[in-house]
Amino acid sequence: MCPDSLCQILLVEDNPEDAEVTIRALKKQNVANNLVWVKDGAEALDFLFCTGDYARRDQCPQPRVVLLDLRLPKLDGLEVLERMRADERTRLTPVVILTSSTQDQDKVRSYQKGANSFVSKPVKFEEFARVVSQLGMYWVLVNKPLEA
Amino acid sequence: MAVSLAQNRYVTRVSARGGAPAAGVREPGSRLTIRRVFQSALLLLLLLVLSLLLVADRVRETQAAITAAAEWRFDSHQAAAELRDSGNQLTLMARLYANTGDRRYLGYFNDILEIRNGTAPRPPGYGREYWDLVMAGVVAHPSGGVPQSYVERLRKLGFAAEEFDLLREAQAQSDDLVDLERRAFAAMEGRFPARDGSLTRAGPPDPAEARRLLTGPEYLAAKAKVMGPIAEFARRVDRRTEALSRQLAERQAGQVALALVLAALAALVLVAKYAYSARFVLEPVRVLERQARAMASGDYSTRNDVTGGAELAVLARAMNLASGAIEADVAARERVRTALAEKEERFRATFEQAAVGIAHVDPTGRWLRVNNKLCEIVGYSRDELLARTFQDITHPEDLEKDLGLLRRVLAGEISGYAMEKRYFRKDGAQVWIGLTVSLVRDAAGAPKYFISVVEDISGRKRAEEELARSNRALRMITAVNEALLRADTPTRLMQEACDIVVVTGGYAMAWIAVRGAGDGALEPAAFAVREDGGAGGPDSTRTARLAALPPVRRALLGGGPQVTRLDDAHADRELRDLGVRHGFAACASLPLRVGASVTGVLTLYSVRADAFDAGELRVLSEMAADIGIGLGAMREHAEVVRVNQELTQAQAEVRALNAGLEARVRERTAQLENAVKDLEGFSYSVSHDLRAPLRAIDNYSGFLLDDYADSLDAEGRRLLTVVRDNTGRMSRLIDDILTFSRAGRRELALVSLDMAGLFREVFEELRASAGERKVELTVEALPPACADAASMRQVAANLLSNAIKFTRDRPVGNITVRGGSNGPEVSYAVADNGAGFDPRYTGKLFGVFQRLHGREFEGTGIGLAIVKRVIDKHGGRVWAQGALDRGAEFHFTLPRREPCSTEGENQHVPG
Repeated sequence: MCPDSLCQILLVEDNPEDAEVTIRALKKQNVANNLVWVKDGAEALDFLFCTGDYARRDQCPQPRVVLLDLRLPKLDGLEVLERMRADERTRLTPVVILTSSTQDQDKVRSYQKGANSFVSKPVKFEEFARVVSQLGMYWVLVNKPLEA
Repeated sequence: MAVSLAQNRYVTRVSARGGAPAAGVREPGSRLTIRRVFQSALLLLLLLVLSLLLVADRVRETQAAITAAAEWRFDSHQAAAELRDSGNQLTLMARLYANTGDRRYLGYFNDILEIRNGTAPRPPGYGREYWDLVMAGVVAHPSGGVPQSYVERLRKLGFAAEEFDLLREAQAQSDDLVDLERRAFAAMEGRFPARDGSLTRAGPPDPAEARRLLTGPEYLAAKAKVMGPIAEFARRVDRRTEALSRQLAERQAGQVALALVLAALAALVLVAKYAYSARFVLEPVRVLERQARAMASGDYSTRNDVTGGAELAVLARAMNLASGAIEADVAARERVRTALAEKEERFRATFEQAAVGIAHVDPTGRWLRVNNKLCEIVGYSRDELLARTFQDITHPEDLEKDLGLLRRVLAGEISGYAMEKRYFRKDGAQVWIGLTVSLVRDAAGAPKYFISVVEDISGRKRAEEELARSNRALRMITAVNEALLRADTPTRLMQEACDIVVVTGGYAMAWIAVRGAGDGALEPAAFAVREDGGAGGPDSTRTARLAALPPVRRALLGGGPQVTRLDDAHADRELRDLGVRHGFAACASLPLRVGASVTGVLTLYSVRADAFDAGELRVLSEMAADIGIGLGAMREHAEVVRVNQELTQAQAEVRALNAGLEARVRERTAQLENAVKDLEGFSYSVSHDLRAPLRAIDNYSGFLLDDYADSLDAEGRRLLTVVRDNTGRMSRLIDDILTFSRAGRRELALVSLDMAGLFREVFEELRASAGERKVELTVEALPPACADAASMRQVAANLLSNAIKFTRDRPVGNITVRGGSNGPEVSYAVADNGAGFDPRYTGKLFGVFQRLHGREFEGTGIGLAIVKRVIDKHGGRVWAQGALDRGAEFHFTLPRREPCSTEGENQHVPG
């Protein structure tokens, strides 16, 4: 885990097992050092907009990528995405939908609301590890973010 | 000026209608202008006069010099004479002394010398006579004055050096003379010359000796010697002063000549100026005057070709321009006048020959001018018409409207009007005309006259009336037909028909009589009369009587329509009386038929004798037929009403039933929609929630195998692997169920598909699952399909993966895809040489979770169910053929759709 202000990856995941698997896979790639894990949509927005528990977060920099589950308590993933895209601070922040769903309609709605990527969580352990590491590698190490 | 004007290049004659000026005319800027000439002449004159004044001044100066020279000459002569005179006076004084011994003369002698030498004052007016006057005692001597030596005087007079030389010579020559005089004076005093020559020898005074000395030849000779140079001096002075005078005179003569020349020049300039004026001003002015006079007398063709004198040339050109313009204007006016005359002629011709009547009418209505056609229309001669007003021949009913419009035109509210009205012809007949009136005003805007255009529209009016009548007839028949639909009883129908005939049809009276139920005699059924007809209300007795009239009977007996002129002598008497009483002129009786039999008669009366012509009768007959049909229909009406009531009741029952059904359908639909929603929610949950624990199981098993492999023995690892195998199967199962569920709900986006390409593509994607096994695909020519692309891909994938799976035990897997067209369908078949199936269970092949094979062939048992569902959804069929161990062949068909289209309601689903 990292200081909130240095966060590079924001993982929004209510299922602790999925979160653990994800973090574990990212750790193996050494990209989980600056990762923040929040468990519902409301907390995710608090973090991103520096409100509530995260009101004291310094300067409120945005993570390099948000890994966002769709089925979430309080606010679901699509609502979070919608709120992010409506706000100037997070309008361009990369968002990867990381979900159990393989439904077309989820995919369509995610893209319509401005998701940068849509990834179905594979059931198989090896695949899951591979997919998540690739995600971490790509968004944290390969992709060039917009300079703030 | 004697120069011929014709030959002069600057001034030329007036030429008659020459037009262009003579060639070689100088441009005005490059030659003398009158102004410049006059200015130059004036300047020249001024210079000449100035010169003349200067010369005159010189002449005056010269004259003064001449005068001065004359004075000087006089003075000079006087001076010369004085010298001579003083010599003579000295001689005289000396002799007087010698003769008289009076010493006074000696004093005079000495005074003369002293005055001459300037040692004694010179008396004023000193001259030749002075000493004479002194000796005569007239003048007292000495008489004052200023001393002035003779030489000094000469110098003042400006005597020349050689003249002084002469005087000095005379002086020198006078010594002898003076010596003699001294000896004479000494002799008078008793002194005589001594030996040494001095007068020192004393003796007695000897006046004789003195006289001898002064008068002797010696003295005369000496005197002559003196007088010689003096005379020369006088001559010289005379000559010199004369030369000066002559020179001055000559100069004066030259100056006078110059003055004369100048005066002559001035005169010449004046003359030249006059000549120029005459040639370049007066003559052109005369030319222009002649032109102006010509123009004044109406001759605009005259042109001048004046070119001399720039200003006049400008004026002359302006005159030419004016002439030209006026000439053009006159010509234009002439053309206009000619055109006007032609126009007038055309107008007259048009007016007279027009196919319509045209008239000019003064504001009071009197005809001012009428054309032939108008006379023709109204039947009056021209003179008769001109003696009348339009009011005289206008139909009284139309007059007020006409006059009203006329007043509005006069008031300026409208510029003209058009109306239709009637004139009375001379023969008393009335004629319909179309009148178009406009007003002509004079320049001040006061009304001059109306222009009326009169068109005989009697023919049109007749046509209109005919049209109106047929319109009326048609309206009548239409109204009767409407009444047929509206009326619910025969009585009402017949009454309405009568009313329509009178109100709409314009007939004076109408009645209908029908056969009674009993003896079949006519009974009155309906009656109508125009309000102003005066025929009184319905009168059944009279109608009954009328019904017995011959034309009515004839009509009743099938004789067709009967027309009777009431003014006809052959008409029934009663009918004639009716006509006379009410002003009816004709009547017609029309049979009313129901089916084949005549059941009644419609009789109509008209005020017009010619009302029932063939056309009208046709319409009326048709109307009568319609009424008959209506009456017939009435009889069946009751039956129809009854049937209708039954029908209506039945319909109401059906509607009630339908309403119940619809409510139930709506209810069911809502339930189904809810069920579908639940199902969707369920499958979504399956998709998301069922997978999560499965993923956890697999992942955590994976962690164990990864991180704790060393702590586990082989059996432990096997068990974990089994767990993980099953999570994989479960995952596939979930995917397939979701796919199956989606296959039924998916909206189809129908596009034209290359099926052969599709099968090949899918096969390439699946080939990997065959491992190293050899599987070959043969795709024959396939018809294109009109289907949803993603769904067809699913179908191809499921069929091909099945084929690959079930040919696993074959050394070489052979898969063949065939296809063909069959009427409204296209069909496809995927055949393999695999394990096949027991044909007894063919029916179960396409069921969900139905498997004909055990674990030896992995699979969820949903693949073929999905295929069936997709094909069903497309409206096609699917079936299988096969036998155990002899391969299987799966067929499906799709409806042919041309053109292939999604038809709007199907939404394309991405992915």
